[in-house]
Amino acid sequence: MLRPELVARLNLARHPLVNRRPLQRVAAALWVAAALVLLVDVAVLFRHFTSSTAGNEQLVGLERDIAQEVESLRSLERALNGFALVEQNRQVEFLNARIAQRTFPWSQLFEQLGEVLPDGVRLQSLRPAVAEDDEPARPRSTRTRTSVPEARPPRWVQLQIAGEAETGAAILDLVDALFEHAAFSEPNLRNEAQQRGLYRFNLTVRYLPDLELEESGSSGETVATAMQLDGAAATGGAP
Amino acid sequence: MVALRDDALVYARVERRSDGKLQVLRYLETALATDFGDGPLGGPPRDPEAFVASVRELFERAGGRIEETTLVLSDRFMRMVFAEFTELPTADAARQEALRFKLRQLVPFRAEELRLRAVEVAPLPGQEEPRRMAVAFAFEALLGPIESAFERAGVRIGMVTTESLALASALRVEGLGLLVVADERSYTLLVSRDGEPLLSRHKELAAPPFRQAGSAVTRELRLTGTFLEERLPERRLDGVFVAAPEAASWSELVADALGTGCVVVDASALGEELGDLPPGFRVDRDGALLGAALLEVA
Repeated sequence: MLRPELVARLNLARHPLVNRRPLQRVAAALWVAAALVLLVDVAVLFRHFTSSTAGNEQLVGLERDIAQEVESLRSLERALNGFALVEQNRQVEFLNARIAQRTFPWSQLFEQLGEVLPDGVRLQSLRPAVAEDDEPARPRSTRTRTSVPEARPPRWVQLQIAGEAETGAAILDLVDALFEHAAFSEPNLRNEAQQRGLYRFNLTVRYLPDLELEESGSSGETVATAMQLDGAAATGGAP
Repeated sequence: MVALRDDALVYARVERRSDGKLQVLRYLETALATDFGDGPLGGPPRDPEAFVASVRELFERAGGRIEETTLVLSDRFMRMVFAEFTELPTADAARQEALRFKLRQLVPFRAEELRLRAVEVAPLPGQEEPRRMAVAFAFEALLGPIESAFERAGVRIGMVTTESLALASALRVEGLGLLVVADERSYTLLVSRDGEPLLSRHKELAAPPFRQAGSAVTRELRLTGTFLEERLPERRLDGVFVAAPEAASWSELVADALGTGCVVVDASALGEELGDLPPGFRVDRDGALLGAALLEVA
C-alpha cells in the first residue's frame, strides 16, 4: 500500500537509522572484488617475476655469449697481431720478387742469342745473374740475406757467357752483334785464348729481358743459377 | 521493533528467513507505569523514571545485545499532513523553516515545538501549487524524552514511525488504498495512491463509533470518499483495510460509509508471507511491527 522506502524517509528519529545492509553487501562485494583483484595481481606479479627471471637469465646468457665473442675477437686480434702481417707481407712481397727473378725467359734469351750469334761461334756456358735497377748484377752467392730486403722487379740480367770460336774475328762479330742488339748492352770481352786451333773466350753482357711476370709467369722457366751448355752447346744460327 | 501504546511497550524481533518469510522470533509486552499526557499530540512521560524502568525491563526480557531499534508510535503521537509548495528550498534548514511556516497554517500546534520530516509525493489534480509534500511531525517534547529513556537503557532509536504508516508499508494493494487503524481512543484514515501517501486523518473517539448512528466517524469516512471522488474521479478504491479491536463492526461501518467492501488486516492481507507467529501476536494489532521491520531494510 505504501512503499517502505518512502515511509522510511518520514522517519522522525533524532539519529535516523542507517540501513547498513546495502553498504555491508557492497562492502562485502568490494572485499570479494578486491580479493579477486589481489589474487589476479599476485598471479600477474608472479608471472611477471617468473618471466622476468627467465628474461634476465636469457639476458645474462646473451651477455655471457657477447663477452665470449668479444674475448674470442680479442684473442683473434692478438693472434692476428702475432702473425706480424706487415712483416709477413714484406716477406711475401720479397719472395714474390724472388720468384719473379727466378722466372727467367730462357726461350726468349736463346732466340735472341741466336740472332746475335755469328757463324763459327758456339756457346759452352751461360750464367745469368739477376740485378736490380742500376745495381750491378751480383753473383748468386750474394743473394742470401739475413734480413728481408725491399724486393723490386729485376731490370736487367748480367750474363756470363763462355764459348769458343773458330776465329778471333767471329768473337768480335759476336761482340758487335751484342752491341747492336737492343736486348743486350755493355758486352765486355773478358778474355780469349787460343787452344788447339779454337779461340776460347769469356764475356759478360747485360741482358734486358723486359721481364713481365704476368707474361712470363705461365711460360717462364725457373731460373737456373747457371746453365752449362756443355752437353747441349748452342752454336751460332742454331741454338 | 518496539511499539509504544497507551498502556504498554511491545517488543518484537522480526527476521527474514532463508525461505523469504518474515519470522517473529520474539514478542514481549511490558506494561507502562506512566502515560504521555492528555494532549492531542501527547507529551513527555509523566514519570520519566518509570518509563525508563519499563524500557529497561522490556529489553532485559528481550535479552541479547540490542543496540538499535525502531519505535512505532500511536498515530495519536505522530501525525501526517500534506502541504502544497511552489518552491521548496533544498538547504535543510531553509527547508525545515519553509515546512514549519506551512505547518503553522495547517495544524493547531506550535510548529517550532515539532520535529518533522517531509517527503514529496505526486500532486493532486487541481491543487493550487505544483508540489505536494507529505509532512510527518511529532512533539519534540515527546520524542526527546522517549529517545533519552531508550538511550539510558542502552538502545538507540533509529526510526520513529506510526502504526498506520508501518502497517500500510506491509499491506499488499496496488493503486488506491484505504487503511483504517483504530483503538479505543482514536482512529486514523490513511489513503495511499500508487505507493505514496495521499491523505491522512486522525480523530479522537468519544465513544465506539458503531454504537452511534450517524457518528462523526461515518461523516469522516464519507468526507474522505467525497474527497477522493472529487480529486480522483477516475479512480476507485482498490483495497480497504481495517485494523481495529472490533474489526467486524469497523468493517461494517466503513463498508456502509464508503459503499465498498473491506478487509480486516490479517496475515493474508500482508505483502509478505509470515512464518509461525508467537503466542499473543495478532496481525491486526501488531502488524505495524512487521511493517516496521520492512522499513528498517528499505
